[in-house]
Amino acid sequence: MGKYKNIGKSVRKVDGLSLATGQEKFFDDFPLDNPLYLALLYSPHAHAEILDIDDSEARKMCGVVDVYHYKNVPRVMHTTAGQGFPEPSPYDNVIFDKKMRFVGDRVAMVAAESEQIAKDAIKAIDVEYNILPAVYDIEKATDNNVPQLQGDDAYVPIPVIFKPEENIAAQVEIAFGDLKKGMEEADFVEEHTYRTQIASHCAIENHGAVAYIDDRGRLVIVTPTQVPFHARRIVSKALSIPVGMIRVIKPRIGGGFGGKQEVFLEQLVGLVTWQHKRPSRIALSREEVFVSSRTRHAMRVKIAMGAKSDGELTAIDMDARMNSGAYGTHALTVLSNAGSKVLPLFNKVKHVHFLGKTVYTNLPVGGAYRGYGATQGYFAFCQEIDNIARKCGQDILEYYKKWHIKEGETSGIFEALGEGKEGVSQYIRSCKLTECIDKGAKAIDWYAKRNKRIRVGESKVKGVGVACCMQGSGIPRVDMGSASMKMNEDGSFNMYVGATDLGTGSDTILAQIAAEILQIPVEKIIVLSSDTDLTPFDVGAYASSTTYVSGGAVRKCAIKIADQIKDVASEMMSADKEDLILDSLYVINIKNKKKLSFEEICCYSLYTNNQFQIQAEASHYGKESPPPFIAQFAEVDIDKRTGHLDLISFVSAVDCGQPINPKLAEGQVEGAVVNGLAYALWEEYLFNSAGKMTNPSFWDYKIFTTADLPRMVTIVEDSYEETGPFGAKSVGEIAIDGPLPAIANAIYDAVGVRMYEAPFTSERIYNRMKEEGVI
Amino acid sequence: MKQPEWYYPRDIEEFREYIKLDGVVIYGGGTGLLRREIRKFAGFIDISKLPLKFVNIAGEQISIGGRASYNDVASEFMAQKPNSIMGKSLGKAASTPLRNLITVGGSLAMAPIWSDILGPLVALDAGIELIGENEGEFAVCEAIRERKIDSKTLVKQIDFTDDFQRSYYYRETRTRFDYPAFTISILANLLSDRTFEDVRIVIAGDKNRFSRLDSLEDKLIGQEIANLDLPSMIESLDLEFADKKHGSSNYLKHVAQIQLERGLKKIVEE
Amino acid sequence: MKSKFIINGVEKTLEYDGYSLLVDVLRANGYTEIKEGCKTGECGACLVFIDDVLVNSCQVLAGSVAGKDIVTVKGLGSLFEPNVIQESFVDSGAVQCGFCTPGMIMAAYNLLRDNKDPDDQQIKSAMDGNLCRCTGYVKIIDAVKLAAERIRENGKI
Repeated sequence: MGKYKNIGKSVRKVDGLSLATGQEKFFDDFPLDNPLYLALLYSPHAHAEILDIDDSEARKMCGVVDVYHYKNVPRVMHTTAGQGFPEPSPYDNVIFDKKMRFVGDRVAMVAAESEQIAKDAIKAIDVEYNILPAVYDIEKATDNNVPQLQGDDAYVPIPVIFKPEENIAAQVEIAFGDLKKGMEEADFVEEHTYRTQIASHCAIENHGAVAYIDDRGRLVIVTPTQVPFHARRIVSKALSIPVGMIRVIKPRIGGGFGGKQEVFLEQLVGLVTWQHKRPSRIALSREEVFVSSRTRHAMRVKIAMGAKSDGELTAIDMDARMNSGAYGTHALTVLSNAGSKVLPLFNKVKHVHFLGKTVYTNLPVGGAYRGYGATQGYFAFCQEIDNIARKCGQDILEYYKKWHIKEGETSGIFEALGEGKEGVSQYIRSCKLTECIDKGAKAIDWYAKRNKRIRVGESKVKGVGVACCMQGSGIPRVDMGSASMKMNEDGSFNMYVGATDLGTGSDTILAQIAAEILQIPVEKIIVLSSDTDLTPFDVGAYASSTTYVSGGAVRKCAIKIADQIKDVASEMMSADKEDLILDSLYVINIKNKKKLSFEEICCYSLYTNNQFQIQAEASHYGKESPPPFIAQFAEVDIDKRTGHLDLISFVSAVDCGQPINPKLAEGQVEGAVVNGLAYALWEEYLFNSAGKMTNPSFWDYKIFTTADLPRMVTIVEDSYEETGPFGAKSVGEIAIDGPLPAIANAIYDAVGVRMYEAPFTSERIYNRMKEEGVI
Repeated sequence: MKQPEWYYPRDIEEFREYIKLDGVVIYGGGTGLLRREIRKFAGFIDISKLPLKFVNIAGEQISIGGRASYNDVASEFMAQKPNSIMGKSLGKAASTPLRNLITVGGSLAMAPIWSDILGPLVALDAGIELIGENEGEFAVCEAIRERKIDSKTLVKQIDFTDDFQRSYYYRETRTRFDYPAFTISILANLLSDRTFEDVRIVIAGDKNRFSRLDSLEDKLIGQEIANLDLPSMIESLDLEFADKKHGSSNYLKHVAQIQLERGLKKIVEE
Repeated sequence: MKSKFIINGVEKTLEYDGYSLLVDVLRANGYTEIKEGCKTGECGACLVFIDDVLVNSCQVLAGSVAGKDIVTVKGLGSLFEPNVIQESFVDSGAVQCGFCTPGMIMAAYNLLRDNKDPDDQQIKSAMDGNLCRCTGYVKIIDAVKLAAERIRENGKI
């Protein structure tokens, strides 16, 4: 380490300048030849049955080409979740249903010659509804007298619990040891219930897709998707078109964060274009994205911990209930992660129980969102740890350092909690959490501020809080990525990866990995990614899999290429392959110092003798999912008279193994943190009593701008994961897990009240202080 | 598809002709009109050629054209009269590029309850000159309460005297780029013994849309802050707010009272 | 309706619906470097200069812009001749998905042409109308500082 040409170097992103000059194209930037524009009609009711749709007036309008709804679109049950097949999510979705299950559910679609005509025609569609009673409360949704939200044709493709008659979209339970015994062994038991809120990804690019028929009659879909291969398969199923007749291309994506790991618009453009043999385009407005795309699931977590008076935990009982919204996409897997990514952190607890239920309600639909259940789980877990440490009079930093999972250790949770099937046992090979805690504490000057309630000005008081978290690096034995490469005459290489760059820079870091193996500058790797016709398979960008899994495939592929280069060179030089090394676009014979350029070698291989194309491919899946670790610290000043919170500093110290590109790794942490900060303080979905979202715009759904930033410190700790490419683990999600609990713990440190509900608006902080008699 | 007519009057007389047409609306380049369903209008009167984009600061006499943007006003005031409430209020509203679009006239025409300009102008007792359907010179309060600035009436200019040594402006927001739940505008002149010679206090965004707290002002004149029981004086005011996305009516009332107390204390400091 | 627009120094006659927003007219005519993220003036992805003034093009009716000078991010620099601000963004790691980047470059340009040595607070204020969800803004602020340093060294923007 420290001897790399390309690894650990903050090289410029391969697409950076093109993006900065407005050159790179996003889905809506491609010129289309005479396209049809699509607009959607949404349900105004939270729960209703469509008795009839009369589209005759809309069809009469000049420029309207077609109108689609339940009467004329085939009903194929599927899930919109971008997951591996068979998906661990219920097949409870059809393109257009007769039943509407939330305000914002899809009633009908118009295809017209212009966007304005389509929007006007939507208003001319006459719909007769039978309004049904709606359910919004997750605790009540499973009661007997509550309407069943899913129809009889909803089912799960894999053998997992699915109880639509109880409005249960998913259920998972694991236990080891004896919980009752564990709680009895404790000197005291703490139990609290925590609630997180529905949130939106707020990628600056709204969702959309375009489709066209190519010159050979195949359906081509250009879509900002995190999951091109899953999209192809799901479209094939939903429209009954063979996979081989569909090509999915991912252009630049303007942010995803899980919101674009969902296949719900591609079917629409596919449907229209396949039928009318014309290009079609759908582009959602920001309001439609808030209401009718996907959200972060709200979750209620009741957590009980039994502890000895010296702080040792004897038992943990986690009871999570998650709000699926109207459909069950990611219902099982997000739920499972609330336990599977959280509980192993304290692996020495002998008696553990996790029960999770995801329930259907008549609300916007939850889906994948950075952190993926761990974020919600850590809100409860890290606050309860803070509570327990305080009750035992323990220094919380020493407490974390003593009890967190260490290198060489394992946890029963890894095997017990998978994603729809059994998990995978693993031992931790790299963990620098203790170092992260120490460095982070220093950066925020922890001990000068903790438990001190330093007065700031007339009525503000200071507090600091910490949260330690782990995530994963891909889903072990499930997520697979693949890469292929070929050599060109000037020593450059084309590299094809299925892996999906959604702005994360995966094109760049995968090129860095390949360039390192070949010992060449990164610029010599020409990356083409995420085109189902041209690039090999990859599950896509989710589960923090790209660096670890797709990077593994690239590494293997590049090694094969290096080997072929040496084969040719040894023939050309009549040398032993073992004496040859690659160095800066040359192959050098270390015995006699003779060298051949990559150009000479490639030309020889293509034109001169024993001709072949130097090319290779490789696939990789993780046998483990080595977790990155993070320690995050928040410093806040609370105004005791108003409840206003000033965010002063936020420090993150992360162990992500060897960062392939330090600036990009930091960027992942910083972006996730600032998202988490707004989620902690202001982001939430507000609804009226009829289930309609009342704040579907940035006007009233508040995210941070530069003006809201606290002092931000990001530390990437030296670490090395032997199973990862060049020692790397992934880092895409983990930093969003800490802000909620770290800030909540800081609020407690400042004013002695615990925030059981997020977000911590000024009024909520004020009310909690009043409730606890602090003011 | 139906198309609108666009009119570009070069002077006020031409403008007066165009507003006689049916279904036309004034477009001043601001953001307010776009919140409405614009496809229902038959035509737009683009007033950007009229000489209404000016900020004249002549000592204490100020005159601002209806098409002056928030940035026009804020930058002139921060350069020439930094103590004035006008720079402090408009310089904090919305965002950098939006402040180039939001106009003084447009803000007053829409007069939304979250407007940053309302409190300061009411505190300054500003006058407003209107051209169009409702012509004439009015006090800003009157023009707003009686909804005189409609789709066929433009703000030619606002005028006021700003002879206050001290000003304080507060806006209650969630994140920094946010419309205010309420604003507090305070103007004051103090005597050498630190008593109030003159004070004006306006809360904007309350249930009345805006309230000049003249009963409180009267109690402060001739007094020194340190000698007063501010909290109970403020408590006795009849401040009411609607429930808003920022907070409930009770909470907003509580915070407004505290921020008002703090504002009054702050304005007499230094 | 038909009007003459001057876009990045080039005169163009465009036909458009008289109710249209400027952002839609420009994007429909190939100026896809201008992005659209909210249509309510809140995300800043659609920033352009109109007669040298930085505005959200989604908050401007196209009919009012005829004959005025419009500058987009491509008017500040191109892939083959990038502006120092664009280079600084790439060097600082401030470009992730790149969707907010054109708007950020415009806001940074607006700041740096008048203030070649801004402090942190001034940078944060200048960029306060640009939303980014990828970077957390940290490296964007670094990029503006780096650009300012380079501009001071070169003497010009």
